[in-house]
Amino acid sequence: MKLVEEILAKVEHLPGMPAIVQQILLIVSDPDFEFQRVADLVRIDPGITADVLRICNSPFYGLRNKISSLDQAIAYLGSNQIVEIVLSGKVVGHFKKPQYGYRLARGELWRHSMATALMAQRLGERLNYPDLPTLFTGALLHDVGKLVLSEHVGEKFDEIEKLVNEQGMSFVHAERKVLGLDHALLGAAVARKWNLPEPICHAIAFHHNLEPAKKHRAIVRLVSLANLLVVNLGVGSGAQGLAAPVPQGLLQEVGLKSRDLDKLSLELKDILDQADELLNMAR
Amino acid sequence: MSGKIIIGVGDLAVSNKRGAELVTYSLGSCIGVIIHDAAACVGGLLHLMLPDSNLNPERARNQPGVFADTGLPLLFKKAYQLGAKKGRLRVVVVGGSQVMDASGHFNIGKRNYAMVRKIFWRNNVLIDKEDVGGNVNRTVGLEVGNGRLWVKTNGAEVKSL
Repeated sequence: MKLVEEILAKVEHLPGMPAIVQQILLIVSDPDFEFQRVADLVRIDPGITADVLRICNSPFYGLRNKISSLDQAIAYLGSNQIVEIVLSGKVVGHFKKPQYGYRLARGELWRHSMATALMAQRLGERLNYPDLPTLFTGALLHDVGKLVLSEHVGEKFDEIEKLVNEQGMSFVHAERKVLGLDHALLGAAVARKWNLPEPICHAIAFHHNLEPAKKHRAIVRLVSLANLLVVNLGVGSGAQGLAAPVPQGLLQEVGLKSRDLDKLSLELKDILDQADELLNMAR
Repeated sequence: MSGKIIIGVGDLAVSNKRGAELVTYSLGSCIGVIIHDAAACVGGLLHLMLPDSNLNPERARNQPGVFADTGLPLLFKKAYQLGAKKGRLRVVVVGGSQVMDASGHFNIGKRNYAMVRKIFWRNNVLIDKEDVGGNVNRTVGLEVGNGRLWVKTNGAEVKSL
């Protein structure tokens, strides 16, 4: 079997995404969704309710009174944030192993992914992106391909590293050159296998290269920018280091200037300082 | 405080404890400035994020270590308070790398480095060693007792500076 086929076969054997995630994403993709429908879904799962209560009582949300029920949490935080906590709780299981090929210890890829999701959400709020839960989930899962590719990156690491160090190639480009596919495209295959909505699949597939993204460009560029801000700060970048390409014209498309990146980096520091509960869920 | 002292992003620490090790993780575009006076057994480490406090003066007052122009004076001042002398300080600069950006917008690392050099030049401080730039991620540590300084690059290669 060729290497590419062997890697793709692994996607088929990945554990599935819980059906509740797909159901929630489907409900919230309608801008006028009724939150009661989400609440009814999560109420029957004690694990999720526990997650929601633990996280919404963490300092990140800065609530003055302790929250002790799902209904209270919904009333205080609003639907978008509850949806995000619920989805995070269901996704985190996939991220609990270390990714040695990328030199990421247990919890590091999650930390990177969650920081990217919270940053993307911040960008989405500022730029009036209409579907924040989908944006959040796309950003949270942007590196999901690394879960499958890590082992192969580890095996061929010397070749990949040589291309990065000696030819100045980006890490993702070197992956594609050596393995025949990269973590972004493979991640999209994972997302499709999990029946996740197309905007999420696009955000994952093209977060390093906007050019082929003909549809759903708004979510793709927000996830791309959020990821770059997090990588630039060195959070969970592992073996890839900062060898991540900035897609041409990204900043202009988003409507930001260089100076804005300094302010956004400061915001990202605040996120990292305050979101411990979320960032450390996979530890 | 002895043992390992972790310095977060935009923070700094100094120590004169022989058994102390100052460590900061994940320097991407950020810069780690490490100072050490062997005679006084004083070490300090600053993990600065951005070059210029004009961006947010209030933040600079609350968290001076975030910016080069407010963090560096504080790092030196705290080391002097523990007995370090300017003429004896070994000064090392690590970090300041960037993502691969042909358009030059993501140049925070370069601007951080330029600001550190400018401030040192104005204050007659010489950099003894540096490991800066490129597209890598660095973790750095200083053993205060013997002045040993190590840098770990992209989570693997460890070298002494």
